[in-house]
Amino acid sequence: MTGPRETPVSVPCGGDHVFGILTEPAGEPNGAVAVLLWGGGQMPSYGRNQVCARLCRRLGEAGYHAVRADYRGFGDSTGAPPRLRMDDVALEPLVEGTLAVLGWLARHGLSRVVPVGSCLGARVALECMPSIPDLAGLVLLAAPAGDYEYRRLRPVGGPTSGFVAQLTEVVERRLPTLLLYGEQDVFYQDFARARAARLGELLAASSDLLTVEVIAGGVHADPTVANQRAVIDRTCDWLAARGVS
Amino acid sequence: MGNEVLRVDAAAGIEERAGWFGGAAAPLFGYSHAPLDRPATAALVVCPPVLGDLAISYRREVVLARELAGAGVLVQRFQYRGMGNSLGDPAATTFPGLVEDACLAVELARSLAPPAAPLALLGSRVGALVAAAATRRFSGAALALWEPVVEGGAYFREARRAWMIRAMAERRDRGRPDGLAGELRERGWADVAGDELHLALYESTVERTLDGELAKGPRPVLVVQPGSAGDGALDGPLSQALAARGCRVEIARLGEAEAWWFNPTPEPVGVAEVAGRLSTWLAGAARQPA
Repeated sequence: MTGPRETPVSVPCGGDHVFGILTEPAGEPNGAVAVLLWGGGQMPSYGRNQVCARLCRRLGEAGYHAVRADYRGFGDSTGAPPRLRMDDVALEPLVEGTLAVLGWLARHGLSRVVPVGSCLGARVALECMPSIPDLAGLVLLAAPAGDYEYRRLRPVGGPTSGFVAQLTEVVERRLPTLLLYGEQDVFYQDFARARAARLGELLAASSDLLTVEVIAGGVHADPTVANQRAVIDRTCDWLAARGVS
Repeated sequence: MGNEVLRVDAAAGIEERAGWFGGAAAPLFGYSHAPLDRPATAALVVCPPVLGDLAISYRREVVLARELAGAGVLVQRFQYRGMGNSLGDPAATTFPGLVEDACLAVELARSLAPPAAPLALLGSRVGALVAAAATRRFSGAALALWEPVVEGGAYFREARRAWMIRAMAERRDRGRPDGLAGELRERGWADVAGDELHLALYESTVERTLDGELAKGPRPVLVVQPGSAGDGALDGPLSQALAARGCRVEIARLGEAEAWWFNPTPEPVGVAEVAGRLSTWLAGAARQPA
């Protein structure tokens, strides 16, 4: 083998194939696999400026297996890209592809999962949650609290009920979860609005499980290099501090 | 390639391998797209762009590779050291390093294609400078340029402008008044639209031009430029420089212009048309070596 401890994988999903790369832990495995689910910005799975590849390798150093994959129709996966919307019906193709990867991981003995979702990927993680029996926790970066059509409807708005219901399930399953936003994220405005209502009650009652962090600048879309580094650091630090594995 | 995965698409008549290749110090990640159950008629190595262009060009290069493999061409894609899935220190990456990576990809492609298969390099954006420089080491190799960057300095100025426009739109700090060079001098790297640009790559690229990188010998050259894009450098000075080298130059106005530095289109348009033209051009290059 000439490469790092990383293995490319091609997972059948319907008539398509989902392409991904599995990073192995550098030392003793901690038993969990971090599944990176990034947004709908058509970035290949290594992420802008290698942010996903770097995060996977950092997680590997911390004992995690980690996988980064392209949604169908993006990057090196096959298929046509789906229309990107934040409602559960339109997320279905992305969820199907993610579940195919999770199935492949489970067949290889990696069934304890920590989804790390960014933007639309955070909603994909929450949609997948009922189908993942062994969840260790979640990291949700710039998670949209509302439902919108990607880049087509007004940037802020839409019902938050689905998001609150999913976070309620997170709490019922006693899953430690990090919600990380940038104060300039357009989705943070929605989150703050939702927090002033029913979401705020849930967060207050579940502060032992749900950690909300807000950093300066943006986390969503293509953040600055400094904030990419902050996202990697905060994710790894929080997972270590909470002992999520 | 090491530690690879194979995907066979019988319906499309192609097979794809993804994995690592090159030296153990900084393994490169690459993808070989080959016709299934038949020898390749030509080998094409795709030299990708850098920085923000890399993401925007990515899917069109994947689609192009699959189209060409279906038409019988072995296509080798790769990611430069310190970029994509490849390993390597981005701070130590230089333009000669990118060229070295392209040459490693050529060697891999040659090992996978029949010995008599003609060789071509395709450079996209800054990858055009890399491909042009790499062809110096492969006499007779054909050269295709897809929306080529013709001057490194102009490219970096464009990058900085795009970052400032975005920063303004997002009400962010627009960076230092002395621009990219000042930032690079001060801390050794600069943030260019969310990508790290390191001093070593900047300094080793900024003075390069397509004219300067082109090999002296004649060779077939295809320039693919979107029909809507007007670029006098391609029709004028560059074509003259190529003609002066005795190159047979074709300029194909195909596809749609990407909004470089901003958001990629969800699915690239016109790639099948570009693949068709490349396939025909490669067949012609094989029949009439320069």
